[in-house]
Amino acid sequence: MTTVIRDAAGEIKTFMETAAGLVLQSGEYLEEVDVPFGVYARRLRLSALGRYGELVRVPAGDGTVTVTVECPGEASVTLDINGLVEDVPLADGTGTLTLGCDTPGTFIITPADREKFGAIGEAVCVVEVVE
Amino acid sequence: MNMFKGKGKPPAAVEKRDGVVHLKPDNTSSQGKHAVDLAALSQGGLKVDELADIVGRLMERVKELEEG
Repeated sequence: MTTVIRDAAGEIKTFMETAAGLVLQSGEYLEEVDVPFGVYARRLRLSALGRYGELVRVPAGDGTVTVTVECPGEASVTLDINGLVEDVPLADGTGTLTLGCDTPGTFIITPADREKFGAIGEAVCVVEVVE
Repeated sequence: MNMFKGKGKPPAAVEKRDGVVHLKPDNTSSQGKHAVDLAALSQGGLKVDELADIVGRLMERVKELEEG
């Protein structure tokens, strides 16, 4: 069982294995999901250079960085990349997103549908292109 | 929901070209202006005052890099 905490807009704020000791903020509410915590946490995972949920730094240049998208059981997933909403097609629950490294700056990749996936943990990928 | 609300400046704008997502140069920071300047220089056709501005910003950028 997984306890999902949603904000007033119905978007996933976070999720926990137990609601023990939890104090909700104004407008927040709980949802009990009959899915083991580990399975729920792996519904959407983003990785860059094989690292999940970490800040990944890469040097600026002509190359690219591939972000691997894992979303078991889905045919596609919609991601937000610095405000650009992209639908990523998946094969067997896996797909990729390619980022250019030509300009220094930071890519922040999060799920676009926050009612379905929270922008937390391994569902967030940050890639910083540094000079 | 805006996860960046009240937490500093938002991330740089991006654009998709040929299936690859690219960051757009940030033309508000000195680093971003430098990138925009280089792009303008590579395309040529600058007026004298534009070139002078670019040289001035290049000097500022060099000074920043020297100071670390």
